[in-house]
Amino acid sequence: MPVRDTSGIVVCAVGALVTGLLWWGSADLSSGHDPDHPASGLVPPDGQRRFQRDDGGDQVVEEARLTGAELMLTSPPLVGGALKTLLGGDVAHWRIWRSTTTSYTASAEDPEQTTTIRRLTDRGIEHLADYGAFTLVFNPPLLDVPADVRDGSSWSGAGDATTDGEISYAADLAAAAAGDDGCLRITGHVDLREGGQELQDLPIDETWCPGRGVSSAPPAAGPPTFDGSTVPIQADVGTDDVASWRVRSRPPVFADSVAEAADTGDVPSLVLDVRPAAAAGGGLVVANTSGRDVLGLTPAHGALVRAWVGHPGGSVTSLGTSGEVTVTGSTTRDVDAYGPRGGWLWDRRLSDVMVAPPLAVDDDHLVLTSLAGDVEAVDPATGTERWGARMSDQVRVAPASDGTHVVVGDVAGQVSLFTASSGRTRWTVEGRPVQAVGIADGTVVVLAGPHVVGYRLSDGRRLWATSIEGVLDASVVDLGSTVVVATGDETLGLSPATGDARWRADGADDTVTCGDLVAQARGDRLVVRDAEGHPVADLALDGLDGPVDLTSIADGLYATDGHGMSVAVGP
Amino acid sequence: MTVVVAFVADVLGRVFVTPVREGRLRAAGWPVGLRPVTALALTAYAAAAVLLLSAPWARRHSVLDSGLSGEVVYPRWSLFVFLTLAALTLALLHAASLHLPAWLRIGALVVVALALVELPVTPLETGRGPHVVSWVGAGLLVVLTAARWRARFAWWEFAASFLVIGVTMAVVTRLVARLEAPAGLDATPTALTLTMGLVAVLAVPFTFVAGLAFAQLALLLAHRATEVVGERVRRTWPVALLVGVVAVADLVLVVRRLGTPTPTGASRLAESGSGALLLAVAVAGGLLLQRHRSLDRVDRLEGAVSRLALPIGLLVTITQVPVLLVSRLHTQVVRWHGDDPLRLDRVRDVLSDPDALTWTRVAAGLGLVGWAVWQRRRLTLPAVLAASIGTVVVSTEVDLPWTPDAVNDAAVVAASVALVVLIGVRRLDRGRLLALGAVLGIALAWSVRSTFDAPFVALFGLGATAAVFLGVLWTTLTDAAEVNEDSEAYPRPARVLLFLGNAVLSMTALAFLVVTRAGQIGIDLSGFGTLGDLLLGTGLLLAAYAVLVRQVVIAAPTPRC
Repeated sequence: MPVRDTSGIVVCAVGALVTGLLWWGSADLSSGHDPDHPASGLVPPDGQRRFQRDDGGDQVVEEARLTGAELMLTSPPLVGGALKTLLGGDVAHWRIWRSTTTSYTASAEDPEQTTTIRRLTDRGIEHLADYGAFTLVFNPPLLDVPADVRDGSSWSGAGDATTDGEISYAADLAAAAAGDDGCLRITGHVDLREGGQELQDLPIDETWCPGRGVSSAPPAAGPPTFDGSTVPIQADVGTDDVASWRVRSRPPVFADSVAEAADTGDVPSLVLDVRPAAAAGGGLVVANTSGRDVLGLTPAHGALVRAWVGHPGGSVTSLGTSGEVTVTGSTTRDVDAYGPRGGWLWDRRLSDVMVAPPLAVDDDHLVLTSLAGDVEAVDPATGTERWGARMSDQVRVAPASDGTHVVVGDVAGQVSLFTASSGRTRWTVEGRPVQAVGIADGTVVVLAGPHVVGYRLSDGRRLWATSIEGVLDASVVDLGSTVVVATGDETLGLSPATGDARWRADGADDTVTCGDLVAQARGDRLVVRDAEGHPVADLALDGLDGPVDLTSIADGLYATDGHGMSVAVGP
Repeated sequence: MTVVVAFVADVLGRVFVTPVREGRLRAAGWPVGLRPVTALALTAYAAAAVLLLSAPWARRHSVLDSGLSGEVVYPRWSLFVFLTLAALTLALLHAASLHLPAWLRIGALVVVALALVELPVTPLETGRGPHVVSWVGAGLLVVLTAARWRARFAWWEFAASFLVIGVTMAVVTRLVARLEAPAGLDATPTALTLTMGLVAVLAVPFTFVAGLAFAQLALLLAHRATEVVGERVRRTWPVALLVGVVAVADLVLVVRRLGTPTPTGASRLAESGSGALLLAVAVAGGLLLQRHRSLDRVDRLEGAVSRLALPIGLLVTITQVPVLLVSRLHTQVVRWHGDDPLRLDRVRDVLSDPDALTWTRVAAGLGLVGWAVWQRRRLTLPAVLAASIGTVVVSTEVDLPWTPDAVNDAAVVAASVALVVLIGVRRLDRGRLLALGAVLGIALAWSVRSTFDAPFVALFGLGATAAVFLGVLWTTLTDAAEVNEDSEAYPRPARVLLFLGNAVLSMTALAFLVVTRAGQIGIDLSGFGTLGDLLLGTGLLLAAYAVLVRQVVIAAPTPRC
């Protein structure tokens, strides 16, 4: 009797089994699951944004969903530490909902941004803390919404509202149906007392809606018109200035507010995967991978103090500024813009994620790129498209401009020159995958593979080519009569017209222009050179760990490591 | 009109259908169980290809996440697909290796076992669980290899290997994910990227060979067109007219190129001179190697390509796989021992030294030339191809500033001059005219070969990957002639599994790079495709010229023009 061939069945079964097992095995457990009760359905998703009108003017509220570990890494030490100490338990497993409210009428003296931290537990939605204008830490947590909330529910609670127990709270709340879309109106009051004396009796009148969270103020149409500066931040540094440069430690500091940042003690450990950007006012803007936030850091009290936080949603993939406007790209494929105090301004969806820093050409043109090859110039104040184009492949390196033109290179080797004002394609050439581009003295300089190629600005005709060692950490810096091309292995000072090497130096971890000079970080040293390649400063970058990013500001630069530790280099 | 359509159909049939018919995988005479394994592998290959082609669409309609400091931005759902494809690839390679020579068995076992033991990767302390599971999985593969050391092929070997690899990967990633979840970390992208890094480096030789595809197509297109013209156009003057038009088109392109600066920065004279020198050396060498043989046809070089491309790919990229393996082994030894008594880091540094790469390639090039001389009587055309590629490889490593275009330009000028001279001395017969026409046609097709992928770039938004994708597809469809053979050392089932493993891993690695938009991590497969085009493509071009020049030199008497 012939033996039946079962190989097909077995091979198919094994294939199906392995596929199923790998689906099970690779499930993303990091985001966890909210408790399964009616109150959970009221919590908004990460990255949701809404506008509301308050007595003081319009506000924007950004929602973030965090793990307990992320909460600890992104909160002021006084708040995060207090929560951990008071509430204890397995902090890492907490399911956090953070709401950040930013007022558009905030000023540099009163950068009003308030944060509310809530937690989802089997009890329901618990209010853990508020900070910003004032700081409250509720112990036990104030129950905002009970797990089985419904029309007619009522509940109460009492406890301490500050870590030292000087302020206590007592809450009485009730829920009633509001409308047909499942919303609930929660009313009542939270009575705050200090030493047994009434401090404030806060009336509560909030509307909670499924998937939209809570609102206690009438909605606003959107952000007000931005009337700040969008003029790109430029360094104004000459050789003579550098002689007096010193290196000063500027650690990041999270505080309840900038004013109270002096005594916070702990320095948070950030995770910076995206190059920081210079902020107006001499500060920095950084993207903290922990918590997926954008942080505006302002120099104060000998540190870089967190002045505002933005949460565009997804993970931040690129960062840049145009004057007072901060622009972020994220894994949502959206580009979001924030004002100088963290007020959200506009967003714009690209075909794919933006990973190259946006380029501020002038106060009216900001160039965005994407991994799908999008090139879009927008008005930095409004996000309105000025012009658009498409490259052949991913754009991973920062575009460059001379003010009149914009040059963009992609990973397939296409290099295109556009007129900055109109977007007209002046010319396109093909070459090797582009590592860096720049424009110097009438020549478009492209670092591609082991070659540096100069193209005539007017018609794209190849003028010269030369070789360079290395491809990583690539930069092209325009110093007028000299174009500096650098990789991690070699630095060349070239004549833009002929490509002749005027000088050579070691490679660097990062190379940026700083006024009329070029600044290079290599290990724990910062070397600043003039156009002739002469070192005009050689400084130790003490206190930083590993490769650093350099960010030019008006009168110097910052060096920042991957943990957010920074030093300011300047007068 | 009908004549033109028939002509075009004939050419396209000979260019695209005949090579597939002659070079595809043939299932006749396969042992029991090999068909379902092949079906599963081809399903995976198709899935990877679909994933690659739909990547822009999939990214637009998926929630994206980022990992590895933002170097990969991926749709989360794609991770399990790639893990499955990686597990299948590793299982195919392992099952194939069980019946190959001992060094290949051990090499494949090391690669697959390494892929499993390095899976538990996390910045947190994971405890022993994930490591125990990964080592048990690797141990089972060792047992399977030992148990089947002297056995003949059995289909269940693949099933067992796939099961062990798949279960190990699933359990380890789940255990690590559970441990990392409280910290809000997601280790799967890192584990997958590590695995794909290993898979991608294994794909280097196949991708290198795939880089040859456009050169092959250019050669076939021009040669078949010449062949059809020779057969269908009976009168010689239309042929002469056509050759003249092609020559003018070639010369226009040459003049245009001469008007631009060189891509390498070398002087135009140095570049053109190097190109001419390389052409002269390769053609002279090719003529010498063909001295004792009757006239050959250019299309027979296809057989030589099928025989030699992958071994040459392995030779030229010989340091790539060991560098990664030694580097990963060093990491594991340090992880478990604290330091590395084997000093594998030094081995890695030596292997990754640019000088080591140069010398291995020079040795490979000289070895190819030596093999060509040795085999010139028995395998004349493979010898011509090997010598041409060997010459190209050596000339690249000694920094001769030639470019493929410079070589081609030299061929155009030489062929045009030959045309004029032969007309002048009244020695241009139909055979020589067709041979020179083929040279000029190949030169023209070669000049525009980089546009072959334009429709795919436009339709699917694949960018630079389109060329490598088409190359891998073409190689898979046409390069299996040797796989259909059988021998004691390389039995047919093992060849089939190895071929399928290479094809699936190349397509998977490409799809991974496109779907995740991986940046500076892993291997730049497009770069190796370009290298394959440069070294193998130019070598093939020179070999074709050498064969055609011989036809011009000793053409049988045919009617004069």
